Amino acid sequence: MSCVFLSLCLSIWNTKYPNGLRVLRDISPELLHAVRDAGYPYKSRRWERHDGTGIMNADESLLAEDQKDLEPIGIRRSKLQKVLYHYARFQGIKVHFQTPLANAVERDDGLVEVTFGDGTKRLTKVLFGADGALGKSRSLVAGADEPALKYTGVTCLMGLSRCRCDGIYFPSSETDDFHAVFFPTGENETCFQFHVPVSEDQADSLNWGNLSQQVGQEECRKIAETLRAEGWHQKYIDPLENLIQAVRIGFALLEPPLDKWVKGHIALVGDAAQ
Amino acid sequence: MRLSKSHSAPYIPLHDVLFSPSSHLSLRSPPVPYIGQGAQQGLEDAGVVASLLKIYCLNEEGKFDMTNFEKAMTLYQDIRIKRSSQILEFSKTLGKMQSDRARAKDDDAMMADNILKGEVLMYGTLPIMLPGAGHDYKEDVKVATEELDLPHVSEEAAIEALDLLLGFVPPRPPNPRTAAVSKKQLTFHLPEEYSLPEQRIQDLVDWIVEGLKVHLKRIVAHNANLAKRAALDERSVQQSWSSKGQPIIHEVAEIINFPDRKRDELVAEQDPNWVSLMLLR
Repeated sequence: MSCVFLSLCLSIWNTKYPNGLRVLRDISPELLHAVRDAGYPYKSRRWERHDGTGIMNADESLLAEDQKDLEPIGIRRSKLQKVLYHYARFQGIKVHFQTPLANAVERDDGLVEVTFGDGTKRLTKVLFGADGALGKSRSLVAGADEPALKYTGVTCLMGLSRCRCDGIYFPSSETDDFHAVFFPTGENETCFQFHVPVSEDQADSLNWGNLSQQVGQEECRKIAETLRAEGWHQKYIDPLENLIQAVRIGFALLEPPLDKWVKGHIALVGDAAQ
Repeated sequence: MRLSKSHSAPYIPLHDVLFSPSSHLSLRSPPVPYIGQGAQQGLEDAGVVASLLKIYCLNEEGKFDMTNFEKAMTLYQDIRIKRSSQILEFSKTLGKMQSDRARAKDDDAMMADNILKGEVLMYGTLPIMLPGAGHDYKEDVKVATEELDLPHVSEEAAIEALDLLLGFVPPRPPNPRTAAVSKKQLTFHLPEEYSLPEQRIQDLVDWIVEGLKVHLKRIVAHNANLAKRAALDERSVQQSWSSKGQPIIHEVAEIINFPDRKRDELVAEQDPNWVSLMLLR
Protein backbone atom coordinates (compact mmCIF):
# COMPACT_ATOMS: atom_id res chain seq x y z
CA MET A 1 0.00 0.00 0.00
CA SER A 2 1.31 3.42 -0.73
CA CYS A 3 -1.13 5.90 0.69
CA VAL A 4 -3.73 6.25 3.43
CA PHE A 5 -6.34 9.00 3.71
CA LEU A 6 -7.94 9.77 7.04
CA SER A 7 -10.87 12.10 7.43
CA LEU A 8 -11.39 13.05 11.06
CA CYS A 9 -10.17 11.74 14.36
CA LEU A 10 -12.53 11.48 17.30
CA SER A 11 -11.77 8.93 19.91
CA ILE A 12 -13.31 6.88 22.64
CA TRP A 13 -12.34 3.23 22.98
CA ASN A 14 -11.65 0.06 21.17
CA THR A 15 -11.55 -3.60 22.03
CA LYS A 16 -9.00 -5.99 20.65
CA TYR A 17 -9.73 -9.70 20.70
CA PRO A 18 -7.33 -12.48 19.66
CA ASN A 19 -8.61 -12.76 16.09
CA GLY A 20 -7.95 -9.06 15.51
CA LEU A 21 -4.66 -9.03 17.42
CA ARG A 22 -3.53 -11.97 15.29
CA VAL A 23 -3.75 -9.77 12.19
CA LEU A 24 -1.58 -7.13 13.86
CA ARG A 25 0.93 -9.80 14.91
CA ASP A 26 1.11 -11.06 11.33
CA ILE A 27 1.84 -7.54 10.12
CA SER A 28 4.58 -7.23 12.71
CA PRO A 29 5.15 -8.61 16.24
CA GLU A 30 6.53 -5.18 17.12
CA LEU A 31 3.28 -3.55 16.03
CA LEU A 32 1.31 -5.95 18.21
CA HIS A 33 3.54 -5.19 21.20
CA ALA A 34 3.15 -1.47 20.65
CA VAL A 35 -0.64 -1.83 20.56
CA ARG A 36 -0.64 -4.01 23.66
CA ASP A 37 1.56 -1.52 25.49
CA ALA A 38 -0.92 1.24 24.68
CA GLY A 39 -3.87 -0.82 25.91
CA TYR A 40 -4.78 -2.73 29.03
CA PRO A 41 -5.51 -6.46 29.48
CA TYR A 42 -8.98 -7.65 30.49
CA LYS A 43 -7.67 -10.59 32.56
CA SER A 44 -11.15 -11.81 33.48
CA ARG A 45 -14.73 -11.66 32.24
CA ARG A 46 -17.41 -11.35 34.86
CA TRP A 47 -21.19 -11.37 34.67
CA GLU A 48 -22.97 -9.79 37.61
CA ARG A 49 -26.32 -8.57 38.77
CA HIS A 50 -26.72 -4.84 39.25
CA ASP A 51 -25.78 -4.98 42.95
CA GLY A 52 -22.45 -6.66 42.28
CA THR A 53 -23.67 -10.18 42.99
CA GLY A 54 -21.52 -12.48 40.89
CA ILE A 55 -23.04 -14.91 38.39
CA MET A 56 -19.99 -16.32 36.64
CA ASN A 57 -16.35 -15.53 36.08
CA ALA A 58 -14.37 -16.58 32.99
CA ASP A 59 -10.65 -16.58 32.32
CA GLU A 60 -9.79 -14.44 29.28
CA SER A 61 -6.79 -16.58 28.40
CA LEU A 62 -9.24 -19.19 27.08
CA LEU A 63 -10.14 -16.87 24.22
CA ALA A 64 -6.49 -16.60 23.25
CA GLU A 65 -5.79 -20.33 23.47
CA ASP A 66 -3.02 -19.60 25.98
CA GLN A 67 -1.13 -17.25 23.65
CA LYS A 68 -0.32 -14.43 26.04
CA ASP A 69 0.27 -11.87 23.31
CA LEU A 70 -3.24 -12.44 21.94
CA GLU A 71 -5.17 -12.04 25.19
CA PRO A 72 -7.94 -9.43 24.91
CA ILE A 73 -7.21 -5.80 25.69
CA GLY A 74 -9.12 -2.56 25.87
CA ILE A 75 -7.51 0.48 24.28
CA ARG A 76 -8.41 4.09 23.68
CA ARG A 77 -9.11 4.57 20.00
CA SER A 78 -6.85 7.62 19.88
CA LYS A 79 -3.94 5.59 21.29
CA LEU A 80 -4.55 2.83 18.78
CA GLN A 81 -4.62 5.36 15.98
CA LYS A 82 -1.33 6.88 17.14
CA VAL A 83 0.39 3.50 17.19
CA LEU A 84 -0.94 2.61 13.74
CA TYR A 85 -0.03 6.02 12.39
CA HIS A 86 3.56 5.86 13.62
CA TYR A 87 3.94 2.33 12.33
CA ALA A 88 2.63 3.36 8.90
CA ARG A 89 5.00 6.32 8.81
CA PHE A 90 7.87 4.07 9.83
CA GLN A 91 7.01 1.82 6.87
CA GLY A 92 7.11 4.78 4.52
CA ILE A 93 3.34 4.92 4.02
CA LYS A 94 2.05 8.43 3.61
CA VAL A 95 -0.97 9.33 5.69
CA HIS A 96 -3.13 12.32 4.74
CA PHE A 97 -5.62 13.76 7.23
CA GLN A 98 -8.87 15.63 6.67
CA THR A 99 -9.37 14.07 3.23
CA PRO A 100 -12.74 12.31 3.08
CA LEU A 101 -13.51 10.40 -0.08
CA ALA A 102 -15.88 12.40 -2.29
CA ASN A 103 -16.03 10.27 -5.43
CA ALA A 104 -14.20 7.63 -7.43
CA VAL A 105 -14.61 6.70 -11.08
CA GLU A 106 -13.08 3.74 -12.85
CA ARG A 107 -11.66 4.87 -16.18
CA ASP A 108 -11.43 3.00 -19.46
CA ASP A 109 -7.74 2.33 -18.85
CA GLY A 110 -8.57 0.47 -15.62
CA LEU A 111 -7.27 3.14 -13.28
CA VAL A 112 -9.51 4.60 -10.61
CA GLU A 113 -9.74 8.37 -10.47
CA VAL A 114 -10.32 9.35 -6.85
CA THR A 115 -11.62 12.74 -5.78
CA PHE A 116 -11.33 13.90 -2.19
CA GLY A 117 -13.34 16.40 -0.22
CA ASP A 118 -10.77 19.14 -0.70
CA GLY A 119 -11.02 18.78 -4.49
CA THR A 120 -7.69 17.03 -4.99
CA LYS A 121 -7.59 14.02 -7.29
CA ARG A 122 -5.49 10.90 -7.38
CA LEU A 123 -5.10 7.97 -9.72
CA THR A 124 -4.75 4.48 -8.37
CA LYS A 125 -4.92 0.91 -9.60
CA VAL A 126 -7.00 -0.14 -6.60
CA LEU A 127 -9.04 1.78 -4.06
CA PHE A 128 -9.92 0.19 -0.72
CA GLY A 129 -12.80 2.07 0.81
CA ALA A 130 -12.69 1.78 4.58
CA ASP A 131 -14.50 5.01 5.26
CA GLY A 132 -16.97 3.63 7.76
CA ALA A 133 -20.70 3.25 7.97
CA LEU A 134 -21.47 6.68 6.61
CA GLY A 135 -18.70 7.01 4.03
CA LYS A 136 -18.98 7.40 0.30
CA SER A 137 -17.32 4.19 -0.83
CA ARG A 138 -20.28 1.89 -0.12
CA SER A 139 -22.46 3.76 -2.58
CA LEU A 140 -19.71 3.51 -5.19
CA VAL A 141 -19.81 -0.29 -4.94
CA ALA A 142 -23.52 -0.84 -4.28
CA GLY A 143 -24.79 1.85 -6.63
CA ALA A 144 -28.56 2.11 -6.74
CA ASP A 145 -28.81 -1.05 -4.62
CA GLU A 146 -27.16 0.57 -1.62
CA PRO A 147 -28.99 -0.65 1.48
CA ALA A 148 -30.02 1.67 4.28
CA LEU A 149 -28.72 1.66 7.82
CA LYS A 150 -31.68 0.79 9.98
CA TYR A 151 -31.82 1.68 13.66
CA THR A 152 -31.99 -1.47 15.83
CA GLY A 153 -34.01 0.07 18.67
CA VAL A 154 -31.04 0.25 21.05
CA THR A 155 -29.30 3.49 22.00
CA CYS A 156 -25.98 3.40 23.78
CA LEU A 157 -24.38 5.92 26.09
CA MET A 158 -20.70 5.18 26.21
CA GLY A 159 -17.98 7.00 28.04
CA LEU A 160 -14.46 7.03 29.33
CA SER A 161 -13.71 7.60 33.02
CA ARG A 162 -10.88 7.99 35.47
CA CYS A 163 -11.54 4.79 37.39
CA ARG A 164 -9.82 1.49 37.92
CA CYS A 165 -11.36 -1.62 36.40
CA ASP A 166 -9.88 -5.10 36.84
CA GLY A 167 -11.67 -6.94 34.05
CA ILE A 168 -14.61 -6.78 31.70
CA TYR A 169 -17.93 -6.71 33.60
CA PHE A 170 -21.45 -7.29 32.35
CA PRO A 171 -24.03 -6.12 34.92
CA SER A 172 -27.72 -5.97 34.15
CA SER A 173 -30.59 -4.06 35.66
CA GLU A 174 -33.28 -5.65 37.78
CA THR A 175 -35.80 -2.90 37.38
CA ASP A 176 -35.32 -1.63 33.83
CA ASP A 177 -34.66 -3.27 30.49
CA PHE A 178 -31.08 -2.13 30.07
CA HIS A 179 -27.71 -3.73 30.52
CA ALA A 180 -24.16 -2.44 30.61
CA VAL A 181 -20.53 -3.31 30.11
CA PHE A 182 -17.45 -1.91 31.85
CA PHE A 183 -13.86 -2.61 30.82
CA PRO A 184 -10.40 -1.13 31.36
CA THR A 185 -8.51 0.85 28.74
CA GLY A 186 -5.70 1.81 31.11
CA GLU A 187 -4.39 1.39 34.65
CA ASN A 188 -6.87 3.95 35.98
CA GLU A 189 -9.18 4.27 33.02
CA THR A 190 -12.56 2.62 32.47
CA CYS A 191 -14.81 2.54 29.46
CA PHE A 192 -18.52 2.04 30.08
CA GLN A 193 -21.50 1.43 27.83
CA PHE A 194 -25.16 1.45 28.78
CA HIS A 195 -27.38 -0.27 26.23
CA VAL A 196 -30.92 1.02 26.50
CA PRO A 197 -33.97 0.05 24.41
CA VAL A 198 -35.33 3.25 22.87
CA SER A 199 -38.02 3.22 20.23
CA GLU A 200 -37.23 4.92 16.95
CA ASP A 201 -39.66 7.77 17.52
CA GLN A 202 -38.04 8.45 20.93
CA ALA A 203 -34.46 7.93 19.81
CA ASP A 204 -33.51 11.62 19.44
CA SER A 205 -31.17 10.74 16.60
CA LEU A 206 -30.33 14.39 15.93
CA ASN A 207 -28.37 14.38 19.18
CA TRP A 208 -26.33 11.27 18.53
CA GLY A 209 -22.59 11.76 18.52
CA ASN A 210 -19.92 13.18 20.80
CA LEU A 211 -21.43 14.94 23.78
CA SER A 212 -19.96 18.16 25.12
CA GLN A 213 -18.38 17.91 28.55
CA GLN A 214 -21.36 19.66 30.10
CA VAL A 215 -24.02 17.56 28.36
CA GLY A 216 -22.09 14.35 28.96
CA GLN A 217 -21.67 15.03 32.66
CA GLU A 218 -25.33 15.97 33.02
CA GLU A 219 -26.46 12.81 31.25
CA CYS A 220 -24.15 10.65 33.37
CA ARG A 221 -25.27 12.38 36.55
CA LYS A 222 -28.90 11.48 35.81
CA ILE A 223 -28.03 7.87 35.15
CA ALA A 224 -25.93 7.71 38.32
CA GLU A 225 -28.90 8.99 40.34
CA THR A 226 -31.14 6.32 38.84
CA LEU A 227 -28.61 3.56 39.48
CA ARG A 228 -28.07 4.66 43.07
CA ALA A 229 -31.81 4.68 43.72
CA GLU A 230 -32.12 1.19 42.25
CA GLY A 231 -29.36 -0.27 44.41
CA TRP A 232 -26.56 -0.60 41.85
CA HIS A 233 -23.12 -1.29 43.25
CA GLN A 234 -20.95 1.80 43.72
CA LYS A 235 -18.29 0.45 41.34
CA TYR A 236 -20.79 0.91 38.50
CA ILE A 237 -21.65 4.43 39.60
CA ASP A 238 -18.09 5.69 40.06
CA PRO A 239 -17.28 5.77 36.31
CA LEU A 240 -20.35 7.92 35.65
CA GLU A 241 -19.17 10.41 38.24
CA ASN A 242 -15.59 10.56 36.96
CA LEU A 243 -16.26 11.17 33.31
CA ILE A 244 -13.60 12.11 30.77
CA GLN A 245 -15.69 11.97 27.62
CA ALA A 246 -19.09 10.62 26.57
CA VAL A 247 -20.79 9.68 23.33
CA ARG A 248 -24.37 8.72 22.54
CA ILE A 249 -25.03 6.56 19.52
CA GLY A 250 -27.81 4.46 18.07
CA PHE A 251 -26.91 1.00 16.85
CA ALA A 252 -27.86 0.32 13.27
CA LEU A 253 -27.60 -2.48 10.76
CA LEU A 254 -27.47 -2.56 7.00
CA GLU A 255 -30.75 -3.95 5.73
CA PRO A 256 -30.43 -5.96 3.66
CA PRO A 257 -26.71 -6.71 4.11
CA LEU A 258 -24.48 -5.95 1.14
CA ASP A 259 -24.20 -8.89 -1.23
CA LYS A 260 -21.10 -7.53 -2.94
CA TRP A 261 -18.09 -5.78 -1.51
CA VAL A 262 -16.16 -5.30 -4.71
CA LYS A 263 -16.88 -3.46 -7.92
CA GLY A 264 -14.12 -3.44 -10.47
CA HIS A 265 -11.09 -2.00 -8.76
CA ILE A 266 -12.92 -0.60 -5.75
CA ALA A 267 -13.27 -2.83 -2.68
CA LEU A 268 -14.87 -2.24 0.70
CA VAL A 269 -13.26 -3.01 4.04
CA GLY A 270 -14.60 -2.83 7.60
CA ASP A 271 -17.78 -0.96 8.52
CA ALA A 272 -18.10 0.39 4.99
CA ALA A 273 -18.96 -3.18 3.98
CA GLN A 274 -20.46 -4.61 7.12
CA MET B 1 4.12 -0.71 -3.77
CA ARG B 2 4.29 2.76 -5.27
CA LEU B 3 5.02 2.90 -8.99
CA SER B 4 8.11 4.78 -9.92
CA LYS B 5 6.55 6.94 -12.61
CA SER B 6 4.56 10.02 -11.75
CA HIS B 7 1.58 11.57 -13.46
CA SER B 8 1.30 15.07 -14.75
CA ALA B 9 -0.77 17.66 -12.90
CA PRO B 10 -3.40 17.91 -11.59
CA TYR B 11 -2.81 14.36 -10.46
CA ILE B 12 -0.40 13.49 -7.73
CA PRO B 13 1.66 10.32 -8.40
CA LEU B 14 -0.05 7.16 -9.50
CA HIS B 15 -0.51 4.60 -6.76
CA ASP B 16 -1.00 0.88 -6.84
CA VAL B 17 -3.31 0.99 -3.86
CA LEU B 18 -5.12 3.75 -2.02
CA PHE B 19 -6.65 3.01 1.32
CA SER B 20 -9.35 5.43 2.38
CA PRO B 21 -10.34 4.82 6.00
CA SER B 22 -12.52 6.89 8.25
CA SER B 23 -11.62 7.09 11.87
CA HIS B 24 -14.63 9.16 12.79
CA LEU B 25 -17.20 7.64 15.06
CA SER B 26 -20.42 6.90 13.24
CA LEU B 27 -23.57 8.28 14.74
CA ARG B 28 -25.21 5.07 13.67
CA SER B 29 -22.71 2.41 14.45
CA PRO B 30 -22.84 -1.01 12.79
CA PRO B 31 -22.48 -3.81 13.48
CA VAL B 32 -24.21 -4.43 16.80
CA PRO B 33 -21.33 -4.55 19.30
CA TYR B 34 -22.35 -7.14 21.89
CA ILE B 35 -19.67 -9.63 20.92
CA GLY B 36 -16.85 -7.09 20.61
CA GLN B 37 -16.14 -8.08 17.03
CA GLY B 38 -16.68 -4.86 15.09
CA ALA B 39 -13.05 -3.79 14.92
CA GLN B 40 -11.86 -7.39 14.69
CA GLN B 41 -13.91 -7.97 11.57
CA GLY B 42 -12.31 -4.93 9.96
CA LEU B 43 -8.89 -6.33 10.84
CA GLU B 44 -9.84 -9.74 9.48
CA ASP B 45 -10.94 -8.01 6.26
CA ALA B 46 -7.49 -6.47 6.02
CA GLY B 47 -5.73 -9.74 6.85
CA VAL B 48 -7.68 -11.72 4.26
CA VAL B 49 -7.38 -9.16 1.49
CA ALA B 50 -3.64 -8.69 2.10
CA SER B 51 -3.08 -12.45 2.06
CA LEU B 52 -5.01 -12.90 -1.17
CA LEU B 53 -3.22 -10.02 -2.87
CA LYS B 54 0.06 -11.55 -1.82
CA ILE B 55 -0.93 -14.91 -3.32
CA TYR B 56 -2.54 -13.69 -6.53
CA CYS B 57 -1.25 -10.21 -7.25
CA LEU B 58 2.48 -10.24 -6.64
CA ASN B 59 4.60 -11.33 -9.58
CA GLU B 60 7.87 -13.22 -9.33
CA GLU B 61 9.75 -9.98 -8.76
CA GLY B 62 7.43 -9.01 -5.93
CA LYS B 63 5.74 -6.29 -8.00
CA PHE B 64 2.02 -5.63 -7.86
CA ASP B 65 0.34 -7.38 -10.82
CA MET B 66 -3.35 -6.94 -11.62
CA THR B 67 -3.70 -10.06 -13.79
CA ASN B 68 -5.42 -12.13 -11.11
CA PHE B 69 -6.94 -9.25 -9.17
CA GLU B 70 -10.51 -10.27 -9.99
CA LYS B 71 -9.88 -13.79 -8.70
CA ALA B 72 -8.41 -12.41 -5.46
CA MET B 73 -11.32 -10.03 -4.94
CA THR B 74 -13.94 -12.69 -5.67
CA LEU B 75 -12.40 -14.89 -2.99
CA TYR B 76 -12.13 -11.93 -0.60
CA GLN B 77 -15.80 -11.15 -1.04
CA ASP B 78 -16.88 -14.78 -0.67
CA ILE B 79 -14.79 -15.35 2.46
CA ARG B 80 -15.64 -12.15 4.22
CA ILE B 81 -19.36 -11.86 3.53
CA LYS B 82 -19.87 -15.38 4.87
CA ARG B 83 -17.72 -14.78 7.94
CA SER B 84 -19.03 -11.34 8.89
CA SER B 85 -22.66 -12.47 8.45
CA GLN B 86 -21.98 -15.33 10.82
CA ILE B 87 -20.41 -13.06 13.44
CA LEU B 88 -23.30 -10.62 13.13
CA GLU B 89 -25.75 -13.41 13.98
CA PHE B 90 -23.64 -14.40 16.99
CA SER B 91 -23.62 -10.77 18.11
CA LYS B 92 -27.39 -10.54 17.85
CA THR B 93 -27.73 -13.75 19.87
CA LEU B 94 -25.44 -12.46 22.60
CA GLY B 95 -27.25 -9.13 22.61
CA LYS B 96 -30.53 -10.96 23.14
CA MET B 97 -29.02 -12.91 26.01
CA GLN B 98 -27.86 -9.69 27.66
CA SER B 99 -31.25 -8.16 27.03
CA ASP B 100 -33.04 -11.20 28.49
CA ARG B 101 -30.89 -10.96 31.60
CA ALA B 102 -32.19 -7.44 32.12
CA ARG B 103 -35.85 -8.38 31.80
CA ALA B 104 -36.57 -8.38 35.50
CA LYS B 105 -40.32 -8.57 35.22
CA ASP B 106 -40.48 -12.14 33.97
CA ASP B 107 -38.63 -15.40 34.46
CA ASP B 108 -36.47 -14.89 31.36
CA ALA B 109 -33.85 -13.01 33.36
CA MET B 110 -33.34 -15.88 35.79
CA MET B 111 -33.36 -18.35 32.91
CA ALA B 112 -30.82 -16.30 30.93
CA ASP B 113 -28.50 -16.12 33.94
CA ASN B 114 -28.82 -19.86 34.48
CA ILE B 115 -28.06 -20.61 30.83
CA LEU B 116 -25.07 -18.30 30.97
CA LYS B 117 -23.83 -19.96 34.17
CA GLY B 118 -24.16 -23.44 32.70
CA GLU B 119 -22.36 -22.52 29.52
CA VAL B 120 -19.44 -20.90 31.33
CA LEU B 121 -19.23 -23.89 33.67
CA MET B 122 -19.07 -26.25 30.70
CA TYR B 123 -16.73 -24.32 28.43
CA GLY B 124 -14.81 -22.02 30.77
CA THR B 125 -16.22 -18.98 28.96
CA LEU B 126 -19.26 -18.20 26.84
CA PRO B 127 -18.84 -20.56 23.88
CA ILE B 128 -20.48 -18.07 21.54
CA MET B 129 -17.34 -15.95 21.96
CA LEU B 130 -15.05 -18.62 20.58
CA PRO B 131 -15.89 -18.65 16.85
CA GLY B 132 -15.21 -14.91 16.84
CA ALA B 133 -12.21 -14.47 19.13
CA GLY B 134 -10.60 -17.84 18.43
CA HIS B 135 -10.67 -17.52 14.67
CA ASP B 136 -7.59 -17.39 12.48
CA TYR B 137 -8.27 -15.57 9.20
CA LYS B 138 -5.38 -17.43 7.58
CA GLU B 139 -7.41 -20.65 7.78
CA ASP B 140 -10.11 -19.01 5.64
CA VAL B 141 -7.51 -18.09 3.06
CA LYS B 142 -6.02 -21.56 3.19
CA VAL B 143 -9.38 -23.25 2.62
CA ALA B 144 -10.34 -20.87 -0.19
CA THR B 145 -7.05 -21.46 -1.96
CA GLU B 146 -6.75 -25.10 -1.02
CA GLU B 147 -6.03 -26.22 -4.54
CA LEU B 148 -2.66 -24.63 -3.92
CA ASP B 149 -2.00 -26.52 -0.72
CA LEU B 150 -4.21 -29.55 -0.23
CA PRO B 151 -3.55 -31.53 2.92
CA HIS B 152 -2.34 -35.01 2.12
CA VAL B 153 -5.01 -37.71 2.01
CA SER B 154 -3.81 -41.21 1.32
CA GLU B 155 -4.94 -43.21 -1.69
CA GLU B 156 -6.35 -45.81 0.63
CA ALA B 157 -8.40 -43.29 2.55
CA ALA B 158 -9.83 -41.86 -0.68
CA ILE B 159 -10.80 -45.29 -1.94
CA GLU B 160 -12.33 -46.17 1.39
CA ALA B 161 -14.35 -42.96 1.19
CA LEU B 162 -15.49 -43.91 -2.29
CA ASP B 163 -16.83 -47.21 -1.02
CA LEU B 164 -18.60 -45.56 1.87
CA LEU B 165 -19.97 -42.76 -0.27
CA LEU B 166 -21.50 -45.12 -2.77
CA GLY B 167 -22.80 -47.41 -0.06
CA PHE B 168 -21.22 -50.54 -1.51
CA VAL B 169 -19.49 -51.70 1.63
CA PRO B 170 -20.11 -51.15 5.33
CA PRO B 171 -17.65 -48.99 7.30
CA ARG B 172 -14.54 -50.92 8.17
CA PRO B 173 -10.85 -50.32 8.76
CA PRO B 174 -8.85 -49.45 5.62
CA ASN B 175 -8.11 -52.49 3.52
CA PRO B 176 -5.37 -52.63 0.88
CA ARG B 177 -7.64 -54.67 -1.38
CA THR B 178 -10.41 -52.07 -1.35
CA ALA B 179 -9.54 -50.68 -4.77
CA ALA B 180 -10.07 -53.94 -6.58
CA VAL B 181 -13.24 -54.62 -4.64
CA SER B 182 -14.61 -51.16 -5.45
CA LYS B 183 -14.10 -51.42 -9.16
CA LYS B 184 -15.64 -54.84 -9.29
CA GLN B 185 -18.68 -53.76 -7.35
CA LEU B 186 -19.05 -50.54 -9.31
CA THR B 187 -19.01 -52.45 -12.60
CA PHE B 188 -21.62 -54.78 -11.24
CA HIS B 189 -23.86 -51.90 -10.24
CA LEU B 190 -23.82 -50.05 -13.54
CA PRO B 191 -27.34 -49.86 -14.97
CA GLU B 192 -28.25 -52.57 -17.48
CA GLU B 193 -29.05 -50.04 -20.20
CA TYR B 194 -25.32 -49.38 -20.38
CA SER B 195 -24.84 -51.82 -23.24
CA LEU B 196 -21.23 -50.89 -23.94
CA PRO B 197 -18.40 -53.24 -24.76
CA GLU B 198 -16.75 -54.74 -21.70
CA GLN B 199 -13.51 -52.80 -22.19
CA ARG B 200 -15.40 -49.50 -22.59
CA ILE B 201 -17.22 -50.15 -19.34
CA GLN B 202 -13.98 -51.01 -17.60
CA ASP B 203 -12.35 -47.85 -18.97
CA LEU B 204 -15.35 -45.86 -17.85
CA VAL B 205 -15.18 -47.34 -14.37
CA ASP B 206 -11.46 -46.64 -14.15
CA TRP B 207 -12.11 -43.05 -15.18
CA ILE B 208 -14.90 -42.66 -12.63
CA VAL B 209 -12.82 -44.14 -9.83
CA GLU B 210 -9.84 -41.93 -10.57
CA GLY B 211 -12.04 -38.85 -10.84
CA LEU B 212 -13.84 -39.64 -7.64
CA LYS B 213 -10.63 -40.14 -5.77
CA VAL B 214 -9.57 -36.61 -6.65
CA HIS B 215 -12.94 -35.20 -5.58
CA LEU B 216 -12.98 -37.21 -2.41
CA LYS B 217 -9.53 -36.06 -1.45
CA ARG B 218 -10.81 -32.53 -1.69
CA ILE B 219 -13.89 -33.31 0.38
CA VAL B 220 -11.83 -34.97 3.06
CA ALA B 221 -9.26 -32.17 3.09
CA HIS B 222 -11.94 -29.50 3.18
CA ASN B 223 -13.82 -31.15 6.00
CA ALA B 224 -10.66 -31.82 7.95
CA ASN B 225 -9.91 -28.10 7.82
CA LEU B 226 -13.44 -27.23 8.86
CA ALA B 227 -13.39 -29.71 11.71
CA LYS B 228 -10.21 -28.17 13.03
CA ARG B 229 -11.53 -24.66 12.73
CA ALA B 230 -15.01 -24.77 14.14
CA ALA B 231 -16.13 -27.62 16.30
CA LEU B 232 -18.74 -25.39 17.88
CA ASP B 233 -19.97 -23.90 14.68
CA GLU B 234 -22.88 -25.76 13.17
CA ARG B 235 -23.02 -23.50 10.15
CA SER B 236 -19.60 -24.54 8.97
CA VAL B 237 -20.76 -28.15 8.93
CA GLN B 238 -23.75 -27.08 6.88
CA GLN B 239 -21.43 -25.21 4.58
CA SER B 240 -19.32 -28.28 4.04
CA TRP B 241 -22.42 -30.27 3.20
CA SER B 242 -24.01 -27.72 0.93
CA SER B 243 -20.96 -26.26 -0.76
CA LYS B 244 -18.86 -29.36 -1.18
CA GLY B 245 -20.58 -32.60 -0.32
CA GLN B 246 -23.95 -32.39 -1.99
CA PRO B 247 -22.82 -31.15 -5.42
CA ILE B 248 -20.13 -33.80 -5.47
CA ILE B 249 -22.66 -36.53 -4.76
CA HIS B 250 -24.93 -35.22 -7.51
CA GLU B 251 -21.95 -35.19 -9.81
CA VAL B 252 -21.06 -38.73 -8.88
CA ALA B 253 -24.63 -39.88 -9.39
CA GLU B 254 -24.84 -38.22 -12.76
CA ILE B 255 -21.59 -39.72 -13.95
CA ILE B 256 -22.68 -43.26 -13.23
CA ASN B 257 -26.21 -42.50 -14.38
CA PHE B 258 -28.21 -43.53 -11.38
CA PRO B 259 -31.99 -43.33 -11.82
CA ASP B 260 -33.36 -40.25 -10.03
CA ARG B 261 -34.96 -42.24 -7.23
CA LYS B 262 -31.73 -43.99 -6.45
CA ARG B 263 -29.80 -40.74 -6.57
CA ASP B 264 -32.14 -39.12 -4.04
CA GLU B 265 -31.67 -42.05 -1.71
CA LEU B 266 -27.93 -41.74 -2.08
CA VAL B 267 -27.95 -38.06 -1.24
CA ALA B 268 -30.23 -38.59 1.74
CA GLU B 269 -28.36 -41.51 3.21
CA GLN B 270 -24.71 -40.71 2.63
CA ASP B 271 -23.22 -37.72 4.36
CA PRO B 272 -19.66 -36.90 3.28
CA ASN B 273 -19.00 -35.35 6.65
CA TRP B 274 -19.68 -38.69 8.20
CA VAL B 275 -17.41 -40.29 5.64
CA SER B 276 -14.68 -37.86 6.54
CA LEU B 277 -15.10 -38.52 10.23
CA MET B 278 -14.77 -42.23 9.57
CA LEU B 279 -11.58 -41.59 7.68
CA LEU B 280 -10.14 -39.30 10.29
CA ARG B 281 -10.68 -41.75 13.14
